[in-house]
Amino acid sequence: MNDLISLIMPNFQRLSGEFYESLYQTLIMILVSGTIAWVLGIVIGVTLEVTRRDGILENKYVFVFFDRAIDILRAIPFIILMVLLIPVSRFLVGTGSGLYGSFVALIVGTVPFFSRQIESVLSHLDKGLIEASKSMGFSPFEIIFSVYLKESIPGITRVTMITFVSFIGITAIAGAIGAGGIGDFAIRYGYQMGYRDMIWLVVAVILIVISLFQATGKYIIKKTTH
Amino acid sequence: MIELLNINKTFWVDQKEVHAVKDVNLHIQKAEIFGVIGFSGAGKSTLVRSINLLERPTSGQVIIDGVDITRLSDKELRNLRQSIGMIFQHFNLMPSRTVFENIDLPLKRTGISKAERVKKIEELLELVELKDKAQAYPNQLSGGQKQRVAIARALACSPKILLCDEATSALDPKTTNSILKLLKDLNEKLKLTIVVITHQMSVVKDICDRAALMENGRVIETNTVYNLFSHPNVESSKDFIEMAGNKNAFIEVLNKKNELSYIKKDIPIYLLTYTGDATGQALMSKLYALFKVEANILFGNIDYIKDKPLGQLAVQLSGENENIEKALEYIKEQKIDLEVLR
Repeated sequence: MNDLISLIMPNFQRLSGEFYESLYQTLIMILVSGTIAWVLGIVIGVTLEVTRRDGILENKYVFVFFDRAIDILRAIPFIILMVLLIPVSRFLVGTGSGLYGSFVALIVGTVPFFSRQIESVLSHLDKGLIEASKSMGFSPFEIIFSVYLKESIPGITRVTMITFVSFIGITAIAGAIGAGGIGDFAIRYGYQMGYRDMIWLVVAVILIVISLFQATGKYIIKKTTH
Repeated sequence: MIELLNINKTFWVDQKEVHAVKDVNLHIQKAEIFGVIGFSGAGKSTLVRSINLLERPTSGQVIIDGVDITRLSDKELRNLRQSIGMIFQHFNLMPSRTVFENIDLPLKRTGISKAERVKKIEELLELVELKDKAQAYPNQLSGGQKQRVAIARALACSPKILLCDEATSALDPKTTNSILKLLKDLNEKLKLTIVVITHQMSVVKDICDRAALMENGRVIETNTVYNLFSHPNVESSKDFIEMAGNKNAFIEVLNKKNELSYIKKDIPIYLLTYTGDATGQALMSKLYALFKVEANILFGNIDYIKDKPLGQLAVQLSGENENIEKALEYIKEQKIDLEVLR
């Protein structure tokens, strides 16, 4: 087995420690910033939908604030956003670089895109369902949780899958400027040292992670669509 | 039970003010089935939504059991809404939940125990005759079954009032009848006050006790359904009600094909509208027996509204001119409406 690995990937044995380390860093990025971004994205997506005109908690100021903020943040390329957010990261997590320093940028880079998609999913929900739940005496918060979110699980899963792919993309970019992770690994060994086998390894790992995620998403959609 | 006082509702659509409901006053009595009819865009939907304040009127009062609900706090209003069930044209069932879970939705919030909820849901499913569909999802049901589930859900919190917003408009005629029958039963069994809004005249005819006719945001006539059909007061009420019958089809034929062989050109056609106990058959033979006037029937229709007959006959009379005059006098004496069609 080891012989086979050495034959296909001559550099693996030597770099495996570093590879596992960077894989770990990527998984931490996905878990920590991914989870925070997912929750924030849903909160802001819901906020946009319910505060818009004729929404269940209509509020022009809140809506306009988030609406504009999203447009502005989405307009800034991620690599520039990272640099821009260094002071914010220092303030919030105490550092602007390394693995922990990447969290803020990853979250700010993902939330605007994701909350727009959540907003779009929620706005496609049949308004009759909202009206029916109002007629049953539901409060706005009950409507958000038991109608907007519960009835949109397939849609939310779908946009989570879409966002996940672009999220993996920006974790690699973050890696390239100091956050570590397999993006960083690929740049150092695949690009700077020219180890083709390591590039292929990174590609394979990313494909596996994304496929697993997609498969889980498809399963959830299948189970929740009736 | 329900009083609507001077209800007005205006919307702003594309910077233009739309006056959807204008100065509407209605009194709906306990345990009656009250219809609101009118063409699309007449303001019916907006009006019915003001009863549970899904649409808050721009001005006016909504009084339910003596309480002006426009003054309630949000929380009080939500509690009140539990006592007003509502069903919709497109059912509005939650697609990700089973029939059981859909009916459980309003019950869950009331804080009663799971066991009681299960019992209540079973009772409701029995009431709407869907016992075997508890675990089905809405998309596996037919339109009529979906509306039955919606009715069960609307009744879950034992409301006093049921609002029906075009509840049968998306259903075929046979299913419509079964839903109407169910509503009628509920009205009798549970003493439920039902407000039905519809553009289907047949719905009003079949189940409503009284009805209001709406046009351009105004209620132009409120009356018992029988009187509304037999003696509409307002010209536009007549127009609307005639759309429902098939007299118009006859008049169209009359206008198009003047050459029908059995219609004599030179003598007038009378339309007789008779209500209650007067019957057309006896009248025709009376005319002959008393005045030797023969009636040639060109069109006839008998409707049964709330089990009372409402008949219409279009006839041409032949006989001595003097006798025809007498016959017409006689018809008027019988409290039969007489109208000259041509």
